[in-house]
Amino acid sequence: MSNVVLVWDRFVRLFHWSIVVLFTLAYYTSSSGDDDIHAIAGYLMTVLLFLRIVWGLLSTGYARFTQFLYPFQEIWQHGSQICCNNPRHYLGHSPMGSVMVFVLLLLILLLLLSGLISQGWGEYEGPLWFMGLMPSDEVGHITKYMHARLPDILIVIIVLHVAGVLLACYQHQENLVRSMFTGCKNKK
Amino acid sequence: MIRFGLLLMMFFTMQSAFAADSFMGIPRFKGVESVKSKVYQSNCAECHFAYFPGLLPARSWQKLMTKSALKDHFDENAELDEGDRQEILAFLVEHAADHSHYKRSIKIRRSIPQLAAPLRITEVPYIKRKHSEIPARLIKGNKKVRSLSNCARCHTQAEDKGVFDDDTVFIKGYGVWDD
Repeated sequence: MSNVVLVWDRFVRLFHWSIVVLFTLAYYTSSSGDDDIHAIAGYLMTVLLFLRIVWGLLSTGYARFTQFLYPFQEIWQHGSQICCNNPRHYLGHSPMGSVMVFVLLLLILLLLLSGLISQGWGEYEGPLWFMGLMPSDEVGHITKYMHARLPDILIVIIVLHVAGVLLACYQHQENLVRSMFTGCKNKK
Repeated sequence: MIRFGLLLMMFFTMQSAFAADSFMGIPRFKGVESVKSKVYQSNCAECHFAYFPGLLPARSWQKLMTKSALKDHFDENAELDEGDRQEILAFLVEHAADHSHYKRSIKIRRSIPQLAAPLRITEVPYIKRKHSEIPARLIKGNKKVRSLSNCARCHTQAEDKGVFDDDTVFIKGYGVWDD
C-alpha cells in the first residue's frame, strides 16, 4: 500500500490559493483607487467562502468541519506538545491548526460581510444596493469601521498562520506548503 | 464572406457599445466631470471653489440659481447679471449629477431621494457618509480646513481634475488620510 494520501482535495487547494491571491489583490487595490477591482476580488472571495462553508458541511473528507473540530482538551494538549517540540502528527488539520483555520475563516467572513454591507450603505452600489436593501446608519458606520480595521488584524493572523506552518514543517520534517499545492501528504 | 462581414460588423458595433459610458455596470469615468465654464468661473470662483456641476442634481442647481435664491446665497448676496445667471444655470444643469456618466456623480444621484433637492453639497448623503468617520477636529476644528465645503483644501486633485479619490487626500495639519 502506498504511503501517500490525498488530504487536500482540489476545491480546498483552489480555495486556499485563490484567497491568497484575491486577498492580496483586494488589500492592494483598497489604497490604489481601483475600487472596481477591489469589489470584484471581494465578490469572488464571497462566492468561494460560501462554497467552502457548504463543502465543510457536506463533504466527507478532510475538508469537513467536524473532521477537525477537536475538544478543547486535545487542543491544549497539542499546544503543549508543540511547546515541548514533540507534537503528535495529524494527517488532516492538527488541533492547533484547526483553531487557526476557524479563526481565519471567521475573520474573512466578517471582512467580506462588512465589505458588502458598507458598500451598499456608503457607496450606493453592489448587490445589496441593487436589491434595495439599505442598512441603517448604525450598521453602516459599524461595518465601515470593521472593514477598515479587519484587514490589518488579518495580516497579523496570517503572519501567525505562516509561522505555525513553518514550525510544523520543522517539527514534523514534512513540506506542508507543497501539500497545499499537490494535496498529498505522507502517512507517518 | 457575407456572414464574415456581418460578424465583423457585429463585432464593431459591440465595441462601440462597450466604449460608451459603462462596461458591465462599471462606469468608465471615475471622479466627477471637471468641466469648466468661463462665466461660471469668473462669477462664482471669486468667492468659492467653483463646485463641479456633477456634485449636485439639476433640481438642486435650479433651486439654488433662481433670482431670489441668489439674493440670499448662504447669507451672502450673490445676485448675478441676468444673462450670466441663465448661462451659468444652463451650464450647471447640462452637466449636473443626474446627467453625468461619472462614477461619483452616479453615486451622488443615487444617494439623494427623488423628492429631495439639497442646496448644500455637504448635505448629499453619499458625501456625508464618505466623510462620516473623519473626526471633527480635522475639518471644523482645523484652521486650515474649517469646513467640509472647502473640498480642495484636502482633495489635492479636485480643482484640476475632478478627482476625489482617497489616495489624493492630504489633510493640512494632519497628513495623508488613510481610509
